[in-house]
Amino acid sequence: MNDAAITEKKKFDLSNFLLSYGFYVLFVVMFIACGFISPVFLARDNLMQIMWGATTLLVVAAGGTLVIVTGNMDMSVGSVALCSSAIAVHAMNHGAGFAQMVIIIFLVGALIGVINGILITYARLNSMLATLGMMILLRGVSLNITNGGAQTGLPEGFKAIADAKIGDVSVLILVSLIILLVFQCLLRKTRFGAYCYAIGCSEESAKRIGLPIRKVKMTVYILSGICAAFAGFVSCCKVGTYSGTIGNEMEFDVVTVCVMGGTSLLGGRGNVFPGTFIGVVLLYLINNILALTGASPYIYPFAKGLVIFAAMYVDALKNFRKRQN
Amino acid sequence: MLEMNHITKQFPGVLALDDVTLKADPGRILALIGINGAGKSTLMNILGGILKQDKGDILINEKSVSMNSPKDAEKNGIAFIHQEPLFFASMSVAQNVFIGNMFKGAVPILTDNAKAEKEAKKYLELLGANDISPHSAMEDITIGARQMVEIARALAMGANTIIFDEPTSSLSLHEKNKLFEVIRKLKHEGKVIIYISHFLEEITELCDDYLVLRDGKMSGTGVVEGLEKADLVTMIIGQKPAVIEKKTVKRQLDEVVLKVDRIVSGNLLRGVSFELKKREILGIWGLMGSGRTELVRAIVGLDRIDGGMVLFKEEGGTLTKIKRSTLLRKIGYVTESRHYDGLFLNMDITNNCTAAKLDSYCSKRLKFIDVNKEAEDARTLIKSVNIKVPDEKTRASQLSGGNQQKVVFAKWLNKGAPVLILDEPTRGVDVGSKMEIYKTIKKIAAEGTSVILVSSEVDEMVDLSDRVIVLQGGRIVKDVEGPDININNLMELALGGGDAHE
Repeated sequence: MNDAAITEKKKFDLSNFLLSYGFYVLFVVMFIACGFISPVFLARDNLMQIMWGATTLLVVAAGGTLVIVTGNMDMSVGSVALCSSAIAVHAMNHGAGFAQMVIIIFLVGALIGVINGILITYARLNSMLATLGMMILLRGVSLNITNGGAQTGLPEGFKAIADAKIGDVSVLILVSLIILLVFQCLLRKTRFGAYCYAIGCSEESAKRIGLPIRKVKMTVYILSGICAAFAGFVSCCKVGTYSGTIGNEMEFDVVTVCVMGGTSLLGGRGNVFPGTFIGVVLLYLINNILALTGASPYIYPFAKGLVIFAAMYVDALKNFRKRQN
Repeated sequence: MLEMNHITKQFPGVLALDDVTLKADPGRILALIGINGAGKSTLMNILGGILKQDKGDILINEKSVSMNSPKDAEKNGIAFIHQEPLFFASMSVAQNVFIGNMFKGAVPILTDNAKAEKEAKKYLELLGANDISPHSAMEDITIGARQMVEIARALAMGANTIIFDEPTSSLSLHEKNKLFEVIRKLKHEGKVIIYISHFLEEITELCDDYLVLRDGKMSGTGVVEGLEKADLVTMIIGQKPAVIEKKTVKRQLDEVVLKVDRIVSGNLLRGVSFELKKREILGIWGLMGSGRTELVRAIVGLDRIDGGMVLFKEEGGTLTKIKRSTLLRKIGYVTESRHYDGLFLNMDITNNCTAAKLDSYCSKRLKFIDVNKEAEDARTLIKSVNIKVPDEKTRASQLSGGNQQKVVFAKWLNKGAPVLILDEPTRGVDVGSKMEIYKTIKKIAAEGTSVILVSSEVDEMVDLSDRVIVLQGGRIVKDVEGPDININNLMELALGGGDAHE
């Protein structure tokens, strides 16, 4: 390490700029390009459609960003979404009403968060593997409870919430945006958020300084669980039925959009807004433009795969830079 | 006033501390000295609430306190400044200062970042570190600055007792002087300061009192002023050190084995050339930032070069140009940080010793490894460099710093490389092991190995080198030999009077 090199580092560097903000540039370029490709793209209804599609992922990814900022992973989010609604549906079959179902959904989410947290902080399991196990286990639980099938006839409340609007913007879109902003505020403006970054930067240092690592990690996983449960709830609202496909591949989407938005998988850096927000919107924008141009639906996963590679590559480049400095 | 009275701590099989008493007065700096394993860390861990003593008590201002957790230590105003600063890279300086006690904002759950920045500035100014902006990210400031931030954090947490644990090992000379100024300042403010170091010069320069530990017992305590360095060494290692013999053996040095020709690299190295002869110990000396480590990295191909070349002479061959990556395979390189790239910490000593020439233990076709031969060689090496371990199956991570470094040497001795590059070969190594490592270096040079030695310890340079090239701002400013290799001369040349370094 030498002093001279460090003071000289302040110069503007295009490649560094692109690594940090290239994603935002890409977003703007894509947005404008889409406007030219398809005349209906910029139509208000279409943009609303994109946001409507993104509502579930937005909230889960907000919780997921928190987890990743602390340097951990939550692979169980998709299964939490599925399982919490499955248990609620089971309760419905035993006479529970709408309000009770909603409470059950969120309680289950929080409870699974607690279990994840205990496995990771107290039993010291690797977070990736612990939540991966949880993901598989919960899918099994859900299939058992619902006998694998879909379930129609959910209470009217679900549909009503999906249809609710303020002005002419869907309440669900508004709520998910608000949750996003609250999470951003939590990360950047509160002690809890600072602890999240600190633990992500160096858990060893955090431990030696005496930060409440276990408490913070528990909280992060509980929040992630609640966010995932919210996604389950929104899925039920949108479709009006319970189906076994709720939350499919959601965990991978969460990681993708977080990394796209600049959150480092090594922990310690990233933000919910605008980072993760734009990541989610971009992912849905790609699907949207493919649909508008009439591309084969089979191309969707291919396009998504490319985006994941690009995002991971940029993350790797950034980490490489950091280590070099 | 901090007192630790008659502290005793028993570990399974070892009496780590045996009736140790430490007294530190406010406004004075107490040096805590001892080789690795002498009990310094155990004593400090007890003070820090990480370990609990079996016997004895801790008094702060004559009041007995019990340290059951790091939190207790913090509550009693005890703070540690570590060898490697504890910090959070992506967060701001201000956040790093106040991570332990953040300011509440207007709304209860929010924090007041603006106030944190203002207060952080105050603490940094108090330390004379006005050049550190509380807004910059921790990863963008120098190691010395990070240490200042760590001290500011200790003060912000209300520390009255500050323990510096070998704080200078990663600092440049300039940063070190600045740190000493700060420590003296804290002393004048009446803080209790405990300073742990391997460097005897630092202790005589900075400290007022000393306490030496050896094998868990107190082997000496008193006032630093008027203390003879030789006596201090005796207290530390328990016997009078043999007088360092300055190369009386005149070796024949004529055969050039490695030639470095006008190496230019990055924005630091500006055309460096030198020749290394067989059996020679060539010192590369200079301050931090002079390009010492960079030069070595450039030679072995770890850094890109923009010009110049390296020539190498193989046994029985002639001096020819060599690709630098090929060179690295032919020679030995003891790197600066053994934990990072010098050892396989999770592997045992045997595997570490044989790692550099594993091929020679393999069967011809299927490359089965001859485990018995490996173990046998490892045992021989353990004896020859005097690694203190129960057997060759001990994991590298379980060894003390000194013994780990000996394993690194054993690995290269085993390879029998014609050229050995040593970058800070005794960093973080206790005095006893240091002497043994010096002996090993001299022995292999006498037996025909050429050694390039990079070190920031001037004593080491003087003791070991046959010839020293002095670097300053990426250029060789002087090539010194024989009696010119002495402390004063080397320091003067490195500082150079010029302004190449700042």
